[in-house]
Amino acid sequence: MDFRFTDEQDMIAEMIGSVLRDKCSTADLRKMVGAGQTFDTERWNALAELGLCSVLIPEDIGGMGLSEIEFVRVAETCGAYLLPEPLIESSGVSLPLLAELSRPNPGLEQSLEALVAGAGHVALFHPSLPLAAHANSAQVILSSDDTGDVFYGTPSEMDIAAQPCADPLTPLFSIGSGGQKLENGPNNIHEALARAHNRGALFAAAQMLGVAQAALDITVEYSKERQQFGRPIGGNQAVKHLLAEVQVGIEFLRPVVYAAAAMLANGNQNASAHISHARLRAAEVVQLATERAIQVHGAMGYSWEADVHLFLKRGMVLTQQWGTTDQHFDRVAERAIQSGELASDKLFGT
Amino acid sequence: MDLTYSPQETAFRAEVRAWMEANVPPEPLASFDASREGFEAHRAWEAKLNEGRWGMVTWPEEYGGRGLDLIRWLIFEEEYFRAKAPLRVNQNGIFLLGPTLMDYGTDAQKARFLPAMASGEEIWAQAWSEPQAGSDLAAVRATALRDGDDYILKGHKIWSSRAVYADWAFGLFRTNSEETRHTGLSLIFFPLDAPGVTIQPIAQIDGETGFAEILLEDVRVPAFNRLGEEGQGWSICMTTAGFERGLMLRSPARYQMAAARLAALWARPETSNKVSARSSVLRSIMDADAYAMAIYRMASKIMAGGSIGAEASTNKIFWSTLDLQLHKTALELLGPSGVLTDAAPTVVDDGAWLDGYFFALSGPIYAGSNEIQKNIIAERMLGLPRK
Repeated sequence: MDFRFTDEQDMIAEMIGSVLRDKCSTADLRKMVGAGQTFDTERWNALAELGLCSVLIPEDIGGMGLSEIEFVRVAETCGAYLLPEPLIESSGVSLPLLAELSRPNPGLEQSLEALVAGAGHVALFHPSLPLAAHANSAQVILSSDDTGDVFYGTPSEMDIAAQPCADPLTPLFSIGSGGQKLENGPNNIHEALARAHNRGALFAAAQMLGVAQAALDITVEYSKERQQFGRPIGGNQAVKHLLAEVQVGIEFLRPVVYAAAAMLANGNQNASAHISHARLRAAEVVQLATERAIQVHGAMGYSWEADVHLFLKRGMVLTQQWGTTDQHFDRVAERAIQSGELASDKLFGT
Repeated sequence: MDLTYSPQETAFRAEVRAWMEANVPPEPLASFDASREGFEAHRAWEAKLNEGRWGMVTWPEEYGGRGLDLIRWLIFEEEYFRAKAPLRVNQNGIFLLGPTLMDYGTDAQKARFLPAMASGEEIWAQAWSEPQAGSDLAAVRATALRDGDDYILKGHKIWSSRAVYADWAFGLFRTNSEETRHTGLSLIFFPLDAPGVTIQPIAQIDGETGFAEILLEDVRVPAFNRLGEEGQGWSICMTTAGFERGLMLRSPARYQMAAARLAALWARPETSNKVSARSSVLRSIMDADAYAMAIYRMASKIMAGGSIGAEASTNKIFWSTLDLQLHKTALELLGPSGVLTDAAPTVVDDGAWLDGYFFALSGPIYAGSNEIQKNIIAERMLGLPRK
């Protein structure tokens, strides 16, 4: 039992952090918003060069063969920088799904290699994700319906419609019919889709953790600088307590997100329940962090020019992805109430 | 990151479980705060634990422990609460003063006090707060004046948990009258039956006398009873407070088992308000899990040579809020019968939920109120200015 990341695992997070510090500042993001852009190809290529598209792809097909334990840090870091490009959605969920399902569909098998190398991204529509981001610029779109059938195609082959949303950096799309029906290969399609759902919820939670921490960080800095009554507003207990409560929320979210990742990676029987826990709490914490960020920034926080609203809006999009709050409560209940398996010795499974 | 137990850890769990199954009293003991009999029954349980060398598994063997790491301590606690073993009457000693003694005590002091603490022979109370020094602990006025090889203690301590029946107390005293606030303070032990000590029990919100006032009139104790250097009292107390708020006093297993009982209560046919309470039940379960995961993470960090600082304050806020929320939810499920005491013929679970609720109300107050903890978090973790 050891709850620490290894040095290698820490290094992945630091590596991506250093690229994003350089290429994904809020000034960069505001420039994109001003220009009406949502995808920066140069930044995507820089991330792809780090091999980030292939983290979860098995080694025998050109990937790094790493697990959710590594990728959860990538997702957290991308969340903190409000990365607009769909690296987490694609490399964390859709591309690994494509890798599982591509055989025996010749067209897909061919595009897989280029995608693993970073040539583009895959967008996934799933019963738990009816609105997918960046579907218009995807090389491949996968769409699964309630029956477990999967269709695929390029954006022009699929019936997608833009659904502009609150976050100016997240272009959402809905999907109608169209595309080719995927032929079942050696892997169980239902299991693959369930795994995608778990990964989607987990990495959404990790991104929300990153957004919450970053929103708290910028607010702490602002409250040290902003002077009223001749002193920093952060010296007031009323402000301190607002921010301390956010810190408590984050402190007791982070271990849940990390544990859920480790459990998913190890095939732990409790993984789904803990992923839902992470997803539910992350939604609450990111909402608390970003609303408090706006409150402490005052009128400045309510303005378009300040960065704060970008954190709020990314959080808003993420909180509603990969399953409803009710569904996730049900998954927690399944372990907690129905199974009768709750006891102090059962946290990490039996 | 590896969240699986090693074969050795699993074997240790089995060893604890077997001992607990063979030794935990089948019926719950009477409260240690309500009567001398209940208190002594808990002392006898501590002696039994000590016979099995389960008193404090993390302590070195020479002081009655097993020298085990924090992960094994967590496993021990999980089994302890799973077995419904009695609450630890000596928690002020074993969880708070013990680890502090380990850090600051001389070898002679450790040999004198730790084994008797581990065995329950000497049960400890904490004597810090005073009528005018609560959240503002640095305002303490009680004095310890040096007289040869002794100190003469004088003052008025209050809200001392377990002091009604305990044997010893560790108190914060002013040893230098020239210095004020955080300086000139020392931590000194005194027997609660020493001449000049008067104990006045204070009935708590539940009617039990869990705490007391301690009046000290020229109480003579040897200078041997001072922990650390003269004037070092404040920083030693902050170490103790770290244990109190941090991961020792309130082990996660306590809340995980309470959450499991809450889930079972929700599922019983006779409970009410199930629809509105469902998400609160699930939140309590998630919070108990989150607390456990956070503590496992901290334990891993400490075992690798790290330390925790102001995180202890986030822990304290979290477990106290969780405990209150959990018991409020239980009372909601019980509906009209939630207010019944164990004297009522139709009371559920012997009134344990009501008792638990009253106890949980003290959580956001003791060990430093949650408002003070938020200041600590804001100033020491977030770096916000003091004023």
